[in-house]
Parts: sequence; structure tokens; C-alpha cells
Amino acid sequence: MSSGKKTPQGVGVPVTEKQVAATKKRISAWAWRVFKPVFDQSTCKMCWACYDYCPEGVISKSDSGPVVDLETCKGCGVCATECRFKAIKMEREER
Amino acid sequence: MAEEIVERVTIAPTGSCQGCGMSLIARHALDALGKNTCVVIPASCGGWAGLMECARSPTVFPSAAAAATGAARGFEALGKKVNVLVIAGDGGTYDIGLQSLSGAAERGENIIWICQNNEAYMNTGIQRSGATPRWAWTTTTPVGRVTKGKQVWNKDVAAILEAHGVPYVARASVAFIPDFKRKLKKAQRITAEERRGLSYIEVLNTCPTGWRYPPDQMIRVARLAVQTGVWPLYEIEDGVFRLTYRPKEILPVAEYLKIQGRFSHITEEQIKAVQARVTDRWDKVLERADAAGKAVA
Amino acid sequence: MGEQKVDFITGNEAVAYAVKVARVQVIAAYPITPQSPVTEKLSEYVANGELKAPFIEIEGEHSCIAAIGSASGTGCRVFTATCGPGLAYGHENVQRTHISRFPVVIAVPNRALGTTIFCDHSDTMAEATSGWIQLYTENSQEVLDTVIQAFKVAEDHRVLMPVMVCYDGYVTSHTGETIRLPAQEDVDKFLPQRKPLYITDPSQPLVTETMNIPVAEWEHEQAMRNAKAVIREANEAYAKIFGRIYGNGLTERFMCEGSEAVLVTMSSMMGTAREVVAEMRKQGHKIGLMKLKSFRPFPTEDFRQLAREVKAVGVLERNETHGSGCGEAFKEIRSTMYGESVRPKTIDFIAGLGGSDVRIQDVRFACEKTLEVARTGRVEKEVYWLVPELMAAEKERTGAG
Repeated sequence: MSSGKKTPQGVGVPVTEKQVAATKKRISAWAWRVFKPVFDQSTCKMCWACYDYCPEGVISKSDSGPVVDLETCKGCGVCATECRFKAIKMEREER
Repeated sequence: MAEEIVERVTIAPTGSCQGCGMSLIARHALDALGKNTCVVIPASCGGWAGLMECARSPTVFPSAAAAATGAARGFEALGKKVNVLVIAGDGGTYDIGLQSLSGAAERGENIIWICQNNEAYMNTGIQRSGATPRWAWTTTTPVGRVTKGKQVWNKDVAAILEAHGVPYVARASVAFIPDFKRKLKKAQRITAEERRGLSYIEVLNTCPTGWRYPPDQMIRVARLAVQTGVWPLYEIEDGVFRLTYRPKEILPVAEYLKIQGRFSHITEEQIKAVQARVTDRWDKVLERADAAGKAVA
Repeated sequence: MGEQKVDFITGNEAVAYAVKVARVQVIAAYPITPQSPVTEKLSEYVANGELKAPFIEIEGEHSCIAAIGSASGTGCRVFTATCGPGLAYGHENVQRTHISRFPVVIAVPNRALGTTIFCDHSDTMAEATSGWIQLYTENSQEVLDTVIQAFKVAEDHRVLMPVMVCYDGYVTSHTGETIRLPAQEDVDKFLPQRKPLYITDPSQPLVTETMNIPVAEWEHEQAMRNAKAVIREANEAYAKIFGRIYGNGLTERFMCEGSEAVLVTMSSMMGTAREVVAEMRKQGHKIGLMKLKSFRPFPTEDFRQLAREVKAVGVLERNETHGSGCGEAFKEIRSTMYGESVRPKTIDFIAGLGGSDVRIQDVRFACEKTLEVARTGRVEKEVYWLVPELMAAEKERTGAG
């Protein structure tokens, strides 16, 4: 993939994956997601099953519990289904 | 669960469907192997696994093993130690990719092969593959008036790889992440470090889109596959068989089939046939496990 | 310059020797007649430690091209040889090798596509749109020299396109010739270690392939154009060290001074043609000969120049297009000369298909017909198939031949 940069000999220099990402117009998941996960940190036992099972890998571990990146969360609901402490609820997005 | 320092290699977002098991497999595989990896992803859903902060060697559908071979031998010739990982689907493993995989396995190439098996050519629109189970609906084995679903049983490529005598063959599941990670680490040791040849790990990727069920059930379906004996979790290290998860009870396969829309047309008789086959295979697995005396309960 | 040992070896052995002295770092190969002796010789070198490179006994040519492409991506100098159905089997990967701009050199002992093992150029002609540089060599010495030069051309940052070095299956690959073997230290001077422009490496994750974006395809075309100058340079630089030059690297003229007509031919047919033209010149016929070595990139400038000098150009080639009524080289040459204000007449001679012999009398026929066209200014027939049965019929029809 050409970065637009050329060597003196006219060869397009390839880009890195990160550069590719930067050029893409990111549509935030907020624009189309139907359900989003809501975490009840008081019920959460920090077993990290949600972290393990999140297909996107958008749940990260913090000292206070799971933190989800809602820019990229697709709202698939796997985390809520797998949380055996029922600490995650899927809520419909409001438009 | 023990806290581990993990160097994230994959960068969200992925381009995959909601609830995609492949994204999960790619994420955990690359987290386990780290950034010093060159990944080869042939045509498959794996192409949507998002950005990866590691090297990539592009290739065509049949050639994943060949491209990985070239990369592995190239790095070696230059004195570089790099994990060479293939994430291929069942198409690139069972069917069109089987020849080059067989060649690489026989030559003892130092490649870690992960087959994310979603039991059809999902990326191109859910067409059947050699991994598609019997009677499953796919777009090329549709449910019509004359025939309903795939008419033949699927093949067992893990057994084919075992027959090649590769040092490591395993089956893993997205519902059993610590087991999967342990198998990845083993593959890394055997292949990337000890350089004893190809490691093969087949992970059942219970695809909500192609199997026709809601995405939030993805892990549950994967767990049922293991608990019904359809997908035994085992590893064969240097020819020694080890069952890595033994369900306390084996659930009837009907529970697994009935939640999947791709089997919505299945008859009771057909379910019985599936059960008979699954039971027979599970019994053989138990025999092997008990014979090896190394069943891990 | 070090001593160039004189030896009597086959074309295949010459190719293997060139690969050895080029210090190739990764080889993958699958045997196919008539290439097999190349792979056998290379595996011998590797087994004896004479060539320090892994020899991947790959399970098929489709995988082979993929494997060496990826190995080149890591920064290694790579090589394979294949031909005929093997090259066809690898087609999917041959078509996309150039996209990542990782240099690859392959040797092709031309073998006809179809149910024969013998020579014609249908295998490499079928890949003429694949983005590979294609160089056709006349004899074992030339193929040895050209393989070494090919690495230099492919790895040049102005080019970075893959190269096929072609030589006639059985005719050149299996016949022994007295040739001079360049010494290792001199080859090292001519061809130093590869300096990749970029590589596949975990420290810098690059996207080295695109989905055929048109702008990238244009870059590839630019690279092909650059390749003409780079091939000429390599040809000259090689001659300075080793004392052998092949025309300008793209084409070579033989006895063209003051010619009315020129016959253009390729590969081993050139050797036969030299004999015929030399003889005809002695007899006073004003016929010249031109070797088409670089089929890709096509040497348009050389043919435009030729168009200004002669009244007729005959093309003697070892392939045909199954449907456009002529051969590939004829089309290219004619199309190249079309834009000139004064255009020579052109005729095509198709010979040697499926490994059939290209005899002295066939080349003579082609030369005489081309001269006739130059003299009369009339083209009775544009395409001649130099097949004995057809020529007998032609002879009956015209009383000539």
C-alpha cells in the first residue's frame, strides 16, 4: 500500500498497519449499536470472564472493575450472557 | 484468574460480525505469542480480525502454509527468531489449503497453525466446506424440497495432522480460554522455541451469523459443543494423547443442535444418527484417554 | 578478474551454478521435466554445504511461488525454477508476485503447455501479463550470465519486479556446451548482498499488499519502464567484468548493417538463425537478424528504430495465440511499429511448437520470404506455420519453399 511517499526511484513506500488505521474514516460504534453493556461494579467479582470472552477485546481491566470502550463495542451481549454474577446488563441505546 | 502482563497485539475494532469467535481466537492467540510474530492469514473471516501490531505476510487462499513456510525459512536464513503463525479458517485448512498444509507438516516447518473452524466458508457467504457438519444448512447446501442441508459427514483434519506425525495437535474452544492459552504456549515452545516442527490447534468458532443464532449466545454454544462430546478438548504431544477437559456428564447432542438455526429442519431420526456418531467418537476418545492414563478431569 | 574456469555442462547445470555463485539464501523447488536437474543439482550443492541455503522440497509449484515470495519478503535472495504445467499451476501466485515489490528470480526451461514435455514458449507467453520481467536466452552461457544479472536487475530499487529467465527446454537445458564459469569473488563484486527497500519484520509491521489499486499498478508499469535502463546497465557492467555482452541487454543485432529485411527471433532459434543469415549474407542477400531477448519489458525503442531502417520485418517465434491468428511477438512488434510514419511490412513465422525442430531450412524459408516482401513490397500471406505438412502443401500451391 502506498503511503503517498515515494523513494527517489519512484517506488511507493508501504505504510504500517497503524497508518492504514489513521487514514480510515472511523465510524464510532455509537452511531449504529443497538444495545450497550452496563456494568454494576458493586456486583462484579472481577473474575474477568467478560475480559476473556469479549470478541472485540474492548473490555479492559481496571482496579475498580471492567471498563468498556464504547467507541468500538458492538453490543453483541456475550459479556452479559457470560457474567455468572449478573453484573452486566444490556441496555438499549437511546436515540 | 491470575493477572498476567499481556502485550496487546490486535487493535480493535475488528471488521467481524457481532459475537464473532474468530476475533476472540485471533486476539488471544496473538496476545499469547506477542509482537515478535509474523502472521499469515489467507482468505477467511480472519482477514477481518483487525489491525495487528506484528509482521504480516500476505497470501492467497490455498497458500497459507506455503507463505508461512517461506517466511519461517527466510527468518531462519537471516538468523532471526520470529514466531510464524497462521490463522486460517476451515476452508484454508480442510479444503483448498489442505495440500500446502500437508506439505508443510510433512517437512516439519516451524509454523503454528490455528484453524478457526466455523464449519463453512463464512467470509464469502456461508458456503459449505469439508468441515460443515451433516445436515447443516449452508448457502450451497440449502434446505429445499428434495434435499435438506449437507448430505455427507464432515472430515477430521486434526486426525490427518496427527497421521503426519507433527509434534503437537490440539483441539481448543473459545469457551475454554485458559485451556486455549495453555495450548498456545505449548505450541510456541514446541514450534517457535524448540523448532521441532508444525503445531496444529483447531478451535471451534461457533459463528452466530452462519449457524443462525443470536450473537450473545456464542460462548454458550461453544460450551455446549464441548459438553455434548461434539468437540472434545484434547492434545497430542509427540504422539501422547491427553484429554484436557472431561465433562462431568455428557449432554445429549440435541441440546446443541436445537439452538442453532442451521439445524432447524433436522429430523428426530437425523438427530439420533448424529448422537450415535458423537457417542461412538466420544467413547473412542475416552478409550484413548484412559489408555494413555493421562485424562485430566 | 579471477579465472573463469572452462567446463562442459548442460544449461540446467549452468543455471544451478549461477544460483550458487549468486549466493541465493532460500530455494524452494518442485521437480518438473525438463527443470528437474536444476533442483537436483541445487539440492546437491546444499547437501554438500557448497550453497548455504535451505532447500525447501515444496509439494507443488503453486505453493512454491508463494513460499519464495514470502521468503523474499523477509529480506532473502530467493530462487526457483519451473516451467510448462508447473508454471501454469503456480499462475495464481505468479500473477501477484510483483504486487509486494519483493524481488524474485526464477529460471524457466521453456516447456509447452499441453501434453508434451518438449519446448515451446506457450508457458511463459501465458504469463506475459503477469508483471514479471521476461528474458529469453539463446544458450547455456547466456542463461548462466543472465541469471546472475537477473538478481541485480530485480533487486535494483528502480525496479523491484520479479524476473523470469527463460531458456529452451531440452534444446538448451539438456545439451552440453563449453562454457566459462564466473569466479565467486568476481560475482560478489558484480552482485553484492541484497539491500531490501523494505521487509516483513515484526519490528515494523508494514502493509505490503494492496487490493490492486490502479495507482499501484501504474507504479508497476513505471518500474517496468525503469527496468529497460537497468537491464542495459547490468548487461554492460557484466561485460566489463566477465567479457561477455548480449547486445544491449534487451535486443541484439547480428549482421543488420545495410540490410533490406530483418528476421527477429528468440531463444535457441537464434543460434540456428545466425548460421543461416551468415550463409545468406555470403551469398549476397541483404538480410539481417535481431534477437528479441527482453520480451518484458518490451524494447519498444529498439523496434521503432528498426522500423526506420528496413522495409520488412519477419518474426520467427515459438508460440501461437490460439485465436488471434498469429504469435505473441508478432503482435507486439507490429503494434510497436504501427505509430511510425513509415512502417515496414511484417510477417510472422510460427515454428517449433510442441518441441518440433526448427531446422536450417525453416529459418531459411523465413529469411527468404521476408526478403521477398522487402523487395516486392507485397505481403501475400501474413502468417506462416512452419509445420512440415503445411509447408509441403504451401510448396505445392506456390511451387516455392
